[in-house]
Amino acid sequence: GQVREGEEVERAPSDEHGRYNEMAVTEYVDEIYSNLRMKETELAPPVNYMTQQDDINEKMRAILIDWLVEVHLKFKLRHETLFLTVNILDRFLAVQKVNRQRLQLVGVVSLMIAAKYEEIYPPEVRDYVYICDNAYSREQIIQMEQTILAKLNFRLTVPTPRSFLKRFCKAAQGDSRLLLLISYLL
Amino acid sequence: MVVKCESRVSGKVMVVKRIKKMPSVSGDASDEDEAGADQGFPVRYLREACLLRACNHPNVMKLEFVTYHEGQIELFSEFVGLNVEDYISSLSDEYFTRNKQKHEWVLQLGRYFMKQVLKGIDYCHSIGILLRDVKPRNFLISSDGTLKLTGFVLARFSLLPEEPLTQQVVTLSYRAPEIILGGTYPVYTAPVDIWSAGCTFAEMITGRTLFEGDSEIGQLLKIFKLLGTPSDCNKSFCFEVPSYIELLPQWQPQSLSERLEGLCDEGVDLLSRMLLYHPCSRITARDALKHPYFQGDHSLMKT
Repeated sequence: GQVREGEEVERAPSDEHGRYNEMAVTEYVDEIYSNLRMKETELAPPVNYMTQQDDINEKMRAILIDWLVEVHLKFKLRHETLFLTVNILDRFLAVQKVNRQRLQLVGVVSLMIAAKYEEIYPPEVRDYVYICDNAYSREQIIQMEQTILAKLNFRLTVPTPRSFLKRFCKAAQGDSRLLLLISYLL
Repeated sequence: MVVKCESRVSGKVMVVKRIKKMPSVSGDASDEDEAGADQGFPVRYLREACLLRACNHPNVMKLEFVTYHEGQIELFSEFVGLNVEDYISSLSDEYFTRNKQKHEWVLQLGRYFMKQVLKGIDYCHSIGILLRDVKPRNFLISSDGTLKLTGFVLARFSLLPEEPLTQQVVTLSYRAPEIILGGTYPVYTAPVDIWSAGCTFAEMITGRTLFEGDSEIGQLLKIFKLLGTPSDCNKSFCFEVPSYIELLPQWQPQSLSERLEGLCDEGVDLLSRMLLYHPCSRITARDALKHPYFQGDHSLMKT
């Protein structure tokens, strides 16, 4: 608006903010987490789903995820987005057979959906086309988004390792450095 | 576009929200012209669909299913009647002051609805959903008098938001001061929904919007005019506020009971707790439901 004079454009959230946030939802915290635990068991992808895939294997998944981590860094997205991406990817692969040519497409679209859900300013479709070096067309990406959303039945409000991490880290009275370290290990 | 429909399978009456077909992918949408190009499933509806799918509560509108074929999105939800905003504007002035009996009816109904408003918000907060757009228009009244919360386009799943969120949330008239004052990336959480609920409450009782500003600063002025200009702003808001706030006129708090004529003392007390400046002192939905205002039997009088 017009009344922005004398105001800093961006202000990093201070400790004060952190305290305020904790206080503000303390009442609900336990409930939120028990709810998440329930959902976690309900919505987690089966561990051995890869055995049902003919054309792809764990190794390819690992390579894909390494690449997704890089893309995630390049786009400067939030940690949550990455965890959600992997969750979407695994849940989709658990219910749908995918050939190796299209595995990267599934990965990049998982990232796109996760970013739309988590980010304030998600990247645009053309950014994903570019990042795949034009291996897939805009049309293919949008078509795949449709398929994934339908398969997962719009259930994206899922807990990821990171949701719990924050909580455990607080309980252990860790600072942000500890949080970063564990994030890396995960 | 919203249409009413009936399921051929279950006979259930539902409402379909059809989202405009996006421009076709092929043809004129070149790479340079990204602004108008197809971005796939729109972000706002993606969040709305996913969050509504995660909810299961009598006071939250049920999203039955979503279809998405060839760019055409349809959200199928349970059928509910008119919204609270329409309900309020359907009542004549008579109901709010002139006719004592009719006013009494409005007050009773206000309490009845408010309890459900808070139940819906309480549920969402308990599963970690921040609504960010609580207002009369987003509460639908079903034929049996149940209130259903809807309008999840701006909502997000956010437990303990460490990252700042966007400022572009909540319809201005219902926007909490910490969002207005928080700068480009304010940090806020559940109490913003309570502020909006307080404004909704007052609107149901008086028939008028409580704070109707035409700009952010105008909104702030309306708020301060009624609730008083805080003498020590940094203390009142728990974060550093922009310096222009010191230049604003110093108003004394006005009496809420005068503004909300006819509302009982408990009701005024509850409202004042919902409209506290400091987000941490503001009452939570859970505590609000335990407030004396809602104690006792308040089933609706036959009219």
